[in-house]
Amino acid sequence: MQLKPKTIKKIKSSLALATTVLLTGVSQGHAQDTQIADAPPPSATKWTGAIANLYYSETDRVTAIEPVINLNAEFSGERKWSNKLVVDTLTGASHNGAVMSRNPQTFTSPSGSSNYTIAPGNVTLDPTFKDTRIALSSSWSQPLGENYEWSVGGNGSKEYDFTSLSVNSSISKNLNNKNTKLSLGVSGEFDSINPVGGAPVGLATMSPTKPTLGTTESKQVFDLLLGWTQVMSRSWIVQLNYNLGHSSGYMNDPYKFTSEVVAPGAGNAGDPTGTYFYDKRPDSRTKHALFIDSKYHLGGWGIVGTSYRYFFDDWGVTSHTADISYHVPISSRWYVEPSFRYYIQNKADFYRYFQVQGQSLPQEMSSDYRLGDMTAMTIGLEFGRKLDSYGKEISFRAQLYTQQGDSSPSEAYGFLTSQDLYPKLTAVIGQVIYKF
Amino acid sequence: MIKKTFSCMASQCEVLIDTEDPIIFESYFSKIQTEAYRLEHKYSRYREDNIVYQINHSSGNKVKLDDETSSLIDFSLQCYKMSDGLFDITSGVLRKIWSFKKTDQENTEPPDSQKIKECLKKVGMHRIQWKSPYLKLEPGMEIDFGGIVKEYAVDKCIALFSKESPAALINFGGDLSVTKAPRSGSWSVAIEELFNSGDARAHIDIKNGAIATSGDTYRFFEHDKKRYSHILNPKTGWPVSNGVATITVQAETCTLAGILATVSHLQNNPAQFLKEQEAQHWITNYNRPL
Repeated sequence: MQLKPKTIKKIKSSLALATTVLLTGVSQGHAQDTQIADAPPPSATKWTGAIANLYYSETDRVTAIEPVINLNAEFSGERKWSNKLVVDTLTGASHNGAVMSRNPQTFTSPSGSSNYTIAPGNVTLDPTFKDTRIALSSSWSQPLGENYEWSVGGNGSKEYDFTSLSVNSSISKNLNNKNTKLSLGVSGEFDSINPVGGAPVGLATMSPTKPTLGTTESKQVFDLLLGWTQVMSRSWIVQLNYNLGHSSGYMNDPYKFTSEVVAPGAGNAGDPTGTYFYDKRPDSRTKHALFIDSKYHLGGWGIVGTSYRYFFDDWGVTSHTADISYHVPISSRWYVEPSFRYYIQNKADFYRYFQVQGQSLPQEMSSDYRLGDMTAMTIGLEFGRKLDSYGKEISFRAQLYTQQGDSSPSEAYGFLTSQDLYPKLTAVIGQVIYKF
Repeated sequence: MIKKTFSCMASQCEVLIDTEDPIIFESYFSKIQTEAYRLEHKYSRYREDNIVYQINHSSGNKVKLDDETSSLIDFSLQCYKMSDGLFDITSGVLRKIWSFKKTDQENTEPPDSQKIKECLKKVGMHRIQWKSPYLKLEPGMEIDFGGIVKEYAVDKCIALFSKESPAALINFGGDLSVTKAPRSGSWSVAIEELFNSGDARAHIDIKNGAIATSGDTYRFFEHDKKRYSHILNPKTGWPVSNGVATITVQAETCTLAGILATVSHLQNNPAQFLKEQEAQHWITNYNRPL
């Protein structure tokens, strides 16, 4: 047994030093041991992604199922590689552009090999619509020096009658202590269109032996994006974007046409004559879009998101989109997010509900409901559950979409006045998303 | 301010974070829980699937330790030397021959001196062979990290916060540490032992650093009208009888506070010892009837 020393040694500072070695020495040398998933050793790659499935169903029209897989890798030095695979299967019927009638109407299917008849009072839908699309996209981003970041990416998609390849690149700059971000992006897309039965000559009349331009058409799209993201305060972030797009080439929809109707004055004025003209649009389109987005964090009360988009192009189409969403955490793991969107569009200059028999054909003409005067609303509810605190979560989203236009425009006359010239479209959307 | 508790290391573990955002709170809280459970699993003497069991059943063979356990052995050895043998992680075997119950009615006679002498042959850091990372104990010896694992866990969890993180207080059964001052200015900590002894200064305000408490107000050994703490002196095999029930020490880290509290408890004059170390402390005694 040792004798206890008479004087009390001052041991606190050497003990303090020993504890410092214990606490810092271990945590540096042993990141593997601590199993705290989001503090990996610097050289490890962080994988994240998502698997989702979307179900889209228009009442009596198109149904689509779309599984999506996202896989992203984040390497050291903030370099990211993102990938996405989308498979779209669409079935059902799509509006072909013809007006509804009190009499049955017969249309030739796009392949020219069959006909289909629409009974009176039914919306003129082409029931031969069925397609599967696969799309793959990949992009790489990394910092460039201290304040810049650049990215490059490519997309490819393929469906029965359409193949698309595109490349994109962007550069962004961080300013004001990363509170401001300016970005510039460009992209180029090349599409190859192989319509079933060949691309019909625009404004030609429908027949099994329709004159075609050829079997393969092409289209090019170029886009420029300017973006500004600004952190306004600790709770508020705003984003402003301007997008300029230019497409040229084959712009028509090969499966849509305009009905010729009997001229006013006749006994059956307004009835379809049985002649239909194929869709003909200008061979280029320049689009502009201005977009502003705001996200406001209400602390424990959630996040309010609002956005507005103004669009106009050289086809005469203008539109406004207003969106609001409210992300509310309802417990430490669950959240709910209701949302509402309102859309209003003014028709393209060459949009026609019908063509009057005897009148000269315009240079361009389309009855594609997507280019018409319309308003649409989407009401949605999403709820999700965080599975851990590192980003793993599962969420469910349901949306109801309604779109309507002018069922009785001023141009209508004769029997046209008793038909719905812009049938309402309703769709339900359901989505399950798993993020990891 | 959000607070949540969970059970770990036979204690009520409490986490307070100065934020109103439940998502931010939850992300820190789950990391803290994960780390606490990890250390509990790794260093509990009641488990049969961890390094402690391996060491304590090695029958005199050498055991290869991982980096973290090696660091703890290095640290324990340094504390053993600096405390002149009063802090000793091999002293755990002494608890087998002593029993400390909550009320004095259940106390029995102390073990006889022969039994203590035999047991002391299996106590002493000077008996171990340690050449990192290989540890060799004599048969019958045991390592017990119970004296520092809670304080060590608190410090490891505090390290999960960065300078930019919200202020946090982590309290594992009375051993606690804070990252920085909260928005209200300081953390108000009630020391239960002081409260029980009727001390008016039951609350202390801390802005940084840690607090650890050694001893137990309710667990003691009474013999010959003398009350002994349940803290055993590894050199004599006997508990201390300096009349001190609990010692609370404030220091930069919880581990340091814990070592100081334990070592001071075994001194004849803990108050003077801590004064010499220039460590802020609070002491309660067994003098008063409980």
